[in-house]
Amino acid sequence: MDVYFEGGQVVGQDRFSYALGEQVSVWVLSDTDEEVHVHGYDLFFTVKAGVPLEISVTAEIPGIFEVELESTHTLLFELVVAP
Amino acid sequence: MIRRLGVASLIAVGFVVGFPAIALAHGIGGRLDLPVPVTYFIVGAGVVLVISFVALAVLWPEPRLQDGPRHEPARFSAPRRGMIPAVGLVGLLLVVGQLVPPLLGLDTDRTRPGIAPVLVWVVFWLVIPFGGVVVGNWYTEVNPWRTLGRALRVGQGERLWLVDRWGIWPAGLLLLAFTWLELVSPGSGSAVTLGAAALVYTLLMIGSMAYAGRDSGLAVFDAFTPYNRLISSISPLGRRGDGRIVWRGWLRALTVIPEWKGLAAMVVIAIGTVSYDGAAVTPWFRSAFGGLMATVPGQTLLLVSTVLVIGLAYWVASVAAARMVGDEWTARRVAGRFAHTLVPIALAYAVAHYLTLILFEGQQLIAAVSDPFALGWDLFGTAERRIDFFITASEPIWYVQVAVIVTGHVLGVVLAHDRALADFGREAVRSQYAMLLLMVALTTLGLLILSA
Repeated sequence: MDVYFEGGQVVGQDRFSYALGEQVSVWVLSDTDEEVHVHGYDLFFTVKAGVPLEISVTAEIPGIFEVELESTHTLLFELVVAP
Repeated sequence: MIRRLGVASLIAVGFVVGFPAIALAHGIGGRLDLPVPVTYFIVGAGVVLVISFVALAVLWPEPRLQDGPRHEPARFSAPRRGMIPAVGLVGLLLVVGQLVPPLLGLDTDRTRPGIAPVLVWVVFWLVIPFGGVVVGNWYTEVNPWRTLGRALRVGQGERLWLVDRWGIWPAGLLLLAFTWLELVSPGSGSAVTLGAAALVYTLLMIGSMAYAGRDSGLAVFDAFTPYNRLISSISPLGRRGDGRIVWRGWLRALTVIPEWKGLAAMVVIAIGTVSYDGAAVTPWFRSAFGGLMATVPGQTLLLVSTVLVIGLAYWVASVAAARMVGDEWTARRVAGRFAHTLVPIALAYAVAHYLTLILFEGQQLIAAVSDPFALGWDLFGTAERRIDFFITASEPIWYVQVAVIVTGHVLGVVLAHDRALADFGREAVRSQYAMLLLMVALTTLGLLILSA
């Protein structure tokens, strides 16, 4: 597991870096049901309480993108895609 | 003083305890710029240093900009009056109108942002001031509150003394509040928050105009009236009293900006808030202030502190300059006389920082006009349009960012040189060392933030 969301707190690495074209894989575990929003790519993932979820994206847009819990706008991590 | 500080810190602590962890708020979007490669930084900073020292030796020996704008009529005329004010008013209505769907209990599509964030954070906050550098101060015409005041016939008698007494301090503090809404407030991307803020601001402006008159009220209390005037004073285009567009020469309008109280504060706020936003996403800032960054009051404290640090730097430079030129000059007077020289630097900071926001998030306007209230409409068939992140690659953006920062620095040095000649004479060029040092520091900081 790469990032945990427990008791309202985010624990884990805060930046994940990839080169353009690579496959992003970040595993997330939360103690509540949440919707995860990958900005820029505008992708939404639903994470169920206690069920690990893989944020899987092809890194095709360069930049630094926030990945948030949509309901509270809590930052989970940042996705860095280098050109 | 001590007691006041104590109360303030108690309140601050209360806030810190009371707020949950939040994401890095930003007015719009969730994309940050990739850092400029360190080679660009080294080249940019090197150029700045060389230019600065060469400038001292070769710039003109007599003041050239101080007589203010020329007034040569331009060949073209302005768009018909009435068009632009209408556009401004429609924009304001679209933002305040965001309050209507929730009041009617309508369901909004939460995957669509609506038109308010892009109107406020891209069009109003960036495109209008930056465009003013090219076309002159069009904000006075597009200003929806002025149009509203005219329509409602509020603000007949002008209280001109208000500008002398308070200067633009109220406007400066409102500008700080506006950047707080953009950079710190968790609701900055929410249509309802923006609608409510716009409504409150509108009431505030109507009250100000009713109390002080349309011109004086907006000059003192509307954050964006002095801000746009400052930025657009760089423009070679201006408007004469009779409405005719005139060529006035680059930078010339800046040298005749009235020395309102709070002028330096407004420029410092403009530079400081952008610095905070740029620095806040750098790894070193986060590792140093990570705890504070996690809460709204912590971020507020950091935002205000950054502004104060920039203000302190300007004050120190003013004190040093005043010491070098003799007894009749106080630091306060120097600070007022040189405030306009920081305007190009403030503009450069903003342009470099917000360039990609305009290019990328600005595209949301195309989708948002089809569904301005996020009700699932598709008025023009563009509602599903997504942002195209490939309209430009990273390298051209890096070039432009570094070039803009360096250009802002050069213009600042030129303005400061000209003002020093006018105020202190040829012998007092020494006074420039302090301002030059400040400008080199600010420019290097700007480049450092871009490349961190």
